[in-house]
Amino acid sequence: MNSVERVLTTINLKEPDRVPLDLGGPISGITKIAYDGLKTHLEMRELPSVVWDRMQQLVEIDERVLQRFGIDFRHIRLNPPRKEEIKEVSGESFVNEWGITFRRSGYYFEIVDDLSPLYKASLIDEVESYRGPKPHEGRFRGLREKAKKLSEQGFAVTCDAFTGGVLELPVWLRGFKKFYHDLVANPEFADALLDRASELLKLFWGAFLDEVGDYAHIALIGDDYGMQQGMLISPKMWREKVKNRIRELFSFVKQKAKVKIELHSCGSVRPIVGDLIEIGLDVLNPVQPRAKDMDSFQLKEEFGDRICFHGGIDIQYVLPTGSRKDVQDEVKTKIQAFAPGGGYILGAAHNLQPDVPPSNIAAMYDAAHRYGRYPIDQMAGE
Amino acid sequence: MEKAVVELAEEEANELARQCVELNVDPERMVSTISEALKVIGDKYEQGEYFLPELVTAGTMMSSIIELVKPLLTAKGVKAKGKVIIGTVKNDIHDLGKTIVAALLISAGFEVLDLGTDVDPNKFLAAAKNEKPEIVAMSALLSTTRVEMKNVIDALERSGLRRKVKIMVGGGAVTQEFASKIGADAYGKDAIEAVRISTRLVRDKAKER
Repeated sequence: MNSVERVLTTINLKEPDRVPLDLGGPISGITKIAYDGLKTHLEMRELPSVVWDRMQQLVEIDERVLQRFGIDFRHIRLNPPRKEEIKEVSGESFVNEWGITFRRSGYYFEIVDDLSPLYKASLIDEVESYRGPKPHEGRFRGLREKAKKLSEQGFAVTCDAFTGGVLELPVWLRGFKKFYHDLVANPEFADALLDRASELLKLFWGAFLDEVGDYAHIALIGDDYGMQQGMLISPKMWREKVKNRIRELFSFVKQKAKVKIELHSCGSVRPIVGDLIEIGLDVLNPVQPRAKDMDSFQLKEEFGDRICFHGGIDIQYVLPTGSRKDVQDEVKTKIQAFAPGGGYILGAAHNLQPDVPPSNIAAMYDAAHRYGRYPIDQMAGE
Repeated sequence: MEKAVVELAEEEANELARQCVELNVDPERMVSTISEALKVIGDKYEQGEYFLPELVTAGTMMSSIIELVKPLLTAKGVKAKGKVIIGTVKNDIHDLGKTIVAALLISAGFEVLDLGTDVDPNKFLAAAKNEKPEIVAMSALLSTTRVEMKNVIDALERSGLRRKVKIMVGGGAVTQEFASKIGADAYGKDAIEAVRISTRLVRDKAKER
C-alpha cells in the first residue's frame, strides 16, 4: 500500500496495512526549537530551520526527516503574501495581510485583540465592506505542480488551512472580547461578522482548490470550538451560529474538489461531534485527549463507525514530560483505542512544542510503526 | 436589575442601574445585588448553561454598572472588601481571563488595580509596596510564561513583602500542582472561583493579624 491508499482506506473506515502517520501543516507541525533539537538527535544538523508560521513559530520540515519517520502526508499551503501586504511595525510586531496585528509574546507572536481590524466597527456596513486580502496569483504560484508531484509520488496531499475558520476568523478580525460580547449582546452584528468571514473563506478556498484540487486528497479547515474544560460557546449557540455556515463551507469545498474534509478543533467538542458528522465531516483532529469528555476509547465507541480520528497523542503532559516508555505506552493505548476497524491517523495532538524532547518525537513515530500494523494487537502492553 | 444582569439583558440592566442611581438606591445594596447576580451567573457557568460569550458579557455589564456605582460608594465612605492587584505575567499578552476576573472582583466589592499584560516582576513588586494590597493575582496562559510567577514571588520574598500579601494564580497554563510548587497561596481554575478564593484569602489574612 502506498501512503495515499493507506490514508484513504482508513478515512473510509477500513483497515489499511498500518496506521498512517502525520507530521507537518499548521496543527501537526513542529516549532523551530523542537526541530533544531530533532535535527541534532537525528544527526541532520546541516538542514536549515526555516520559519513559515511566525505566530506559532513552525518550520518547514525537510523531506529526509519525513522519510525517516515514514510520514504519509505532505502538506500544501498558500505561498506567503507579497512583502507589501505585511506591515513590519518593529522586530517585535507586525500586521498581516488580513490587518491583524501580532506582537511577540515570549516564544510566539500573539494576536493583539484591541488592534483587530474591526475592533472599532459599530455598523454592519463596516463589516460588510471589510475587504480582507485578495487571493492573488502569487499566493498559488507553483502549488499545482507541487501537488501533482506529491500526488504522483503516492503521498496523501492535504491542502492546509490558511487562517481561522467560520467562528475563529471573526475572533481574529473583531477581537475575542468584542466578538464574544457581540454574540450575546448584538447578535445581528455577530451574524454579519460570521457571514463576512464565511464569504472570505469561500473566496480563498475556491481559488486554492481551483489550483490544487485535482491532486489534493484532504482539505484541512481549522476552527477552534473547544477549550480544556468545555466548549468555548454553548452547543446551542454553535448550532445556531456556526453549524449551517460550516456546513456550507464543507459543501462548497466538496463541490470544488474531490477531497475529504478534515476539521481541526482544539479542546472539548464532544457535544457537537454528532453534528459535525451530520454535516459531512470526514476526519476530526486533534481529539485532544486530556480535554473534558474527549476520552479516546469513548469517542471511538460512540462515533468510530462514522468518522475518522486524527491526532490523539497527548502533547500537554506525555510528550513534553514523559519518558520514552511513557510515550510508547501512550502510542499503544491510542492505537488500541482508535485504530481497530480503521479510522485513525496518528500524530501529536497539536504542533510539537519547544518542550518536547527529540527522543520522545522519535519514540512516538517508532512506536507507531511497531504497534500500528494491522491487525491491531489489542492485548499489547497488558 | 438583578434579573436583567443574570439574563444578560445589557441595555435593560444599564438602564435600570441608571434609574437606581437617580432614585438614590443605596449603592451598597446595588453592589450586593450584583454580587448575587454574579453567584447565579457562576452557577450557570459551572452547570454548563453559560459559556465564554455569556461570561464576557457579564464582565462587561458589571464593569459598566460598577462605574456608575463607584463614585457613590466613595462618597458614602464605603470600604472595599479588600484590595487586589492583578496582571498577566511578563512576556504574556493574554488578558481575557484576567479582565473577566478583574471585572467580577470589582462587582463583588473588591478594589482592583489592573496592571495589564506583560507585567515585569518589578512592576508587581512596586505595586505591592505602594498599594499594600491584600492579594496579588497573576495570570499566565503559556507554559513558557508561567515561570514568571515564581520570579514575582521571589521578588516579594527578597523585599520582605511575601508575608504581607496573599498570592492567587490562574490561567490556562496554571494548575494546582504548579501553584503549590511555586508557593502561591491559592489557584483558581476560572474567574468564578477567583472571586470565592479572594473572599477567603482576605478573611484568612484578617485572622492572621
